[in-house]
Amino acid sequence: MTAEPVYIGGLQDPLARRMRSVVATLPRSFAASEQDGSDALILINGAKGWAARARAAINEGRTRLFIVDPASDLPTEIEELAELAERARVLVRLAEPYAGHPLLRECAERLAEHYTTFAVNVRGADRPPSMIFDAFRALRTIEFANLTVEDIQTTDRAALLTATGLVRGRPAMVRVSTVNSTIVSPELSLQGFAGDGSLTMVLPNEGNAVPATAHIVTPHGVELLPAIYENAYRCALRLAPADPEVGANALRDFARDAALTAPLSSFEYLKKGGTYDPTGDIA
Amino acid sequence: MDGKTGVGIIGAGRAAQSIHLPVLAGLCDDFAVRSIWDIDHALARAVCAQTATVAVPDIETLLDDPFVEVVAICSPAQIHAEQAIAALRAGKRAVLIEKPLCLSHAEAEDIGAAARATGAYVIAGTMHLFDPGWAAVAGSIEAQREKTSLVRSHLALPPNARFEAWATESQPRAAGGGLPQLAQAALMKLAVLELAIHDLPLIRRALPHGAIPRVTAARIVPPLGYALTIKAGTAIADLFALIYGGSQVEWTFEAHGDDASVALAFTPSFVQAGSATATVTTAKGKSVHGTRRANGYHGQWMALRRALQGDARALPALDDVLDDARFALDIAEQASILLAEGADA
Repeated sequence: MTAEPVYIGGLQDPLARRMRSVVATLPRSFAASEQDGSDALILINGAKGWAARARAAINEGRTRLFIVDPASDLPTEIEELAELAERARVLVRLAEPYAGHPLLRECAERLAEHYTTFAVNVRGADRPPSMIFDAFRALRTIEFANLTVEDIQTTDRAALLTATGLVRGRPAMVRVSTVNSTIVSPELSLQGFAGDGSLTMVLPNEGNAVPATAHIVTPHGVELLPAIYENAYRCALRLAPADPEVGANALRDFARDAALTAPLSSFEYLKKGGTYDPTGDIA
Repeated sequence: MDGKTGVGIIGAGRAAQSIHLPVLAGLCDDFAVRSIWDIDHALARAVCAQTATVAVPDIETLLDDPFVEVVAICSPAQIHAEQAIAALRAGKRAVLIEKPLCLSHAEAEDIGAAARATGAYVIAGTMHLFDPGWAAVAGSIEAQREKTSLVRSHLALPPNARFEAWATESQPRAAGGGLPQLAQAALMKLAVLELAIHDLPLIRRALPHGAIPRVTAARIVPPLGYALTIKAGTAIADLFALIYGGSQVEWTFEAHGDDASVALAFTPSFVQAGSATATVTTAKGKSVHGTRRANGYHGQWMALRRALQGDARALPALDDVLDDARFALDIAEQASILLAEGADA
């Protein structure tokens, strides 16, 4: 098997170092390359403006792009990227730290099926709007829809949101808290509660092989799922579909969430009555 | 009394049976339970028969006993203030009042006035404040108080009865117990003053000095619980509780600041399962305190003993105790008003 060349030179430290390390853990599949040739997988920093940067890369002839930690960006820019990528048959992969985590994917069905009360906590060095978006992307994975925000409180370092919505048609409630801290390890914890049990998962967001954990509590006892020593970057590198059309659709999903949560994540949309509806617009 | 401090207990229910009597039995070198009164005299007699204590027919008898120096009030909250003031006016050296301390600001003022008049100690039975885990990190929390950004108090617990049964062979409950049917606003007030109250003193101590707390979100979480958001200056507090049919026991408290993050994991109420585990994380690393054998129930009586021996700093100052009560009353009132407004909308 030929290792796929990966161009990391477009990233700055510490993200570049992190991704070099990640790529080095998959030596049979990938190899860091100093050339940003058209055959290389180009890593793009997911900070705001990434969609425009990705479009520019496609226009320069790049055929495979990997967006690291994509932030909520201008939805129209992401839509345009999706159109361009599909038209040019360019594969764009998203590496989201939490929504793309394999353990969340593994637990999503169970979370969506059984639980109606959720508590999400995101901590890390990012600003609160970014972490709120991460939490929303994770909630989307478990089919949380029609989100109505009842209250959101924010400071420079923290945010706390109370919202209701539907999970598979059942009324649900969620609390999302975030804290900006360079002291604690970056992670997302998600708890789902039902009348007779709970599921708690912790998804770390740091280097390689940091275990994510999930345990499910029922009246009969505790089930501890096997810890997954994996992270979203490795997962995205290894498991992302090779089909540009699938990649474009993932971009469109992302654009839709960016549009629907943009007012929330910019903190301008604060009070009761706003509705998050993945099939429609914010009320 | 052989140098022991005599204790009188008002109210012979679960708190007395499962908490105070076992703890005081373990501190028998320092304390001696002299008498117990309960409006249900048969219950008081039954409890006393198990503990070689005297069931007195009325509160006056208990308070008239000169050997009773400390009164523990374990009655319903509606009569805490009246009974506490009676004990203080009877010249007792200390009154331990189960949480909540009282149900109104006026009652808090009256308790404060009575305590100041006699110089007696007043303690609220918010045991987390006396937990060795809290004691280990209280300094860190105070030091970063002005820089606190997020405080979280989260608990998910099976119903109390399970822990009560594990803790002590209690006398059967009188029929008709359990939660009354309440409107959401009244239920919220009860939830704050009976459940959130455990951590509210900690939350108050973690929020910036002088910041006025404002409840911005309040929800009852079924089957029984709450979600509350408190904004206080530059800090946000996230209070979440759920009493449910699961078997998970989670009771955590976190305070995140610029320089440190503090996390405590408490044991459930009633059981003598040791102290909280406290973790302080700074840029230099993590330090973990506990678990220790003694818990907050034990800690509050130990602190009282030290105070009675002359170390007044062992206990929170009266003003702090009253501020804790006012803080809890404010949160309960604001939360219930929010819910009532929501119901009217």
